[in-house]
Amino acid sequence: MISILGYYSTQFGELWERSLFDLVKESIDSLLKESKIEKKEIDAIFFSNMMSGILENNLHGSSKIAQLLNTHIPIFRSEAACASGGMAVYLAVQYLKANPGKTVIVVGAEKMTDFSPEEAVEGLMAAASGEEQEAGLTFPGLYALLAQIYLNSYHYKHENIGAISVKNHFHGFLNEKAHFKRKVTLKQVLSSPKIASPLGVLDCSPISDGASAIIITSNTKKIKQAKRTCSILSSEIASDSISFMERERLDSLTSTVVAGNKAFKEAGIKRSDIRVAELHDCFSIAEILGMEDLGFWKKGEGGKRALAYETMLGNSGSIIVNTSGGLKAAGHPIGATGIKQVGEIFLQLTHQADKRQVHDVYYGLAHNVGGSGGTAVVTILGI
Amino acid sequence: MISPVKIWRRQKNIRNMLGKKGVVLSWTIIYTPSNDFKKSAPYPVLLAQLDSGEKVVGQYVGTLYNDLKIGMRIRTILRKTRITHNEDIISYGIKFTNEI
Repeated sequence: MISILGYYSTQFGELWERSLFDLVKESIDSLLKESKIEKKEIDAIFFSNMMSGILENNLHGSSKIAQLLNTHIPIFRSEAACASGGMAVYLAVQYLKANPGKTVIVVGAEKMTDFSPEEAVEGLMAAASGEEQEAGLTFPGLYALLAQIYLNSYHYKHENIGAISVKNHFHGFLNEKAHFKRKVTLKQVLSSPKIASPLGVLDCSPISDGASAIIITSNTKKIKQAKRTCSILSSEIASDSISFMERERLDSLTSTVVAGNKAFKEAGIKRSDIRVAELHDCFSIAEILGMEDLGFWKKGEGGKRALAYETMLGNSGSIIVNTSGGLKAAGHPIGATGIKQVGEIFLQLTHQADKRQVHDVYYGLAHNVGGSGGTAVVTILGI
Repeated sequence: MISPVKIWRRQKNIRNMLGKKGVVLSWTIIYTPSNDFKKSAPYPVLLAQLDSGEKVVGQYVGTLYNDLKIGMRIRTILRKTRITHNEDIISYGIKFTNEI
């Protein structure tokens, strides 16, 4: 059995007074303190970060972490664009399967707000294909192309995807650590300035700073001693072409379908067992594609069900999605996101989610996507 | 700056893509680009399927800027892509215009 023993996230947002590794240090120190685990009990660290090499000329972060913690344990870095965090969780789970009785930290961080939007866009686009870069595309642009296809294929309007942002901002309003702790109306989403039509700024996740960390272990003694813990029932990863135009389907991300099917099979549970999930809502359309590709909603139904706010807190009998506020409202410090998602599900399953708590939850799911679907990670947790 | 050799590698196959006709599968208008495209913004980008079957992404430089539609016919042309610095090699690529 592999279990989570603790989770800590820094504030997400514009944190100008703190550097990337200030955030990493805060998350690891606070995680160890809150979990009452000594540094010497940690056998390895998995570090997730995408952009420090491009934006800050800052690589070999694993060694920087070794310096901060004054340690010689193995430290690995994972990079899979926005799925870097999910990939780090996956790799840590594999490490623990190969090394029974060990305990590891998975920490992810990103520092993005020191840079202009153009610099951040250029850095992010390193995770797209050369053809997409030369076309002047951006990630909002790539998801806008997917959104147009979805809206056109299933005869929806912008409001059918924009409702996702309304829901996630409502959830973010309840999360002290969120980048945006405020509600927005559907009218505001639809009239927000365009980033890449049809997507407005309120359809898009922000550029954020932040770090998140979890402790996971395969040490049965530690699991028994832990006050609050939940199990990682499965963590699965799937890949696809970096260029979305090479793919057969343009109204679905196949990497999510494959990772999701594998994760449910490995966990041995049904879709209907999941009551709470964190989905990769980098753009409003992305959560709808995610709900359909994971099998929670039928293909093409998402626009209707999103506008009915089915997955919003307070709706009993439905799966509740992105209680953290999602990438949209909680913020999207790239390397931290996949770990924050798993952390939020840990909080939900251990009844620590405060005002965002979903009741009667036994299983939860985290879904993290890299690029326009080149990587997807699905992690299922249970108590 | 984008390296000259990278441009050379990318541009080798462009001639095979020129003068081809196809149909728009999706479109967007980019308002927040990266530095090399800032001066062109806002600009439309299309995903098109050529009649020969390949899918291609590129900017649209035709006259129907305000009337872009899925299903619209286009053809491929050669244009400068990104804004390069004064002494850099000019980067060419595929863009789209009206079919005619």
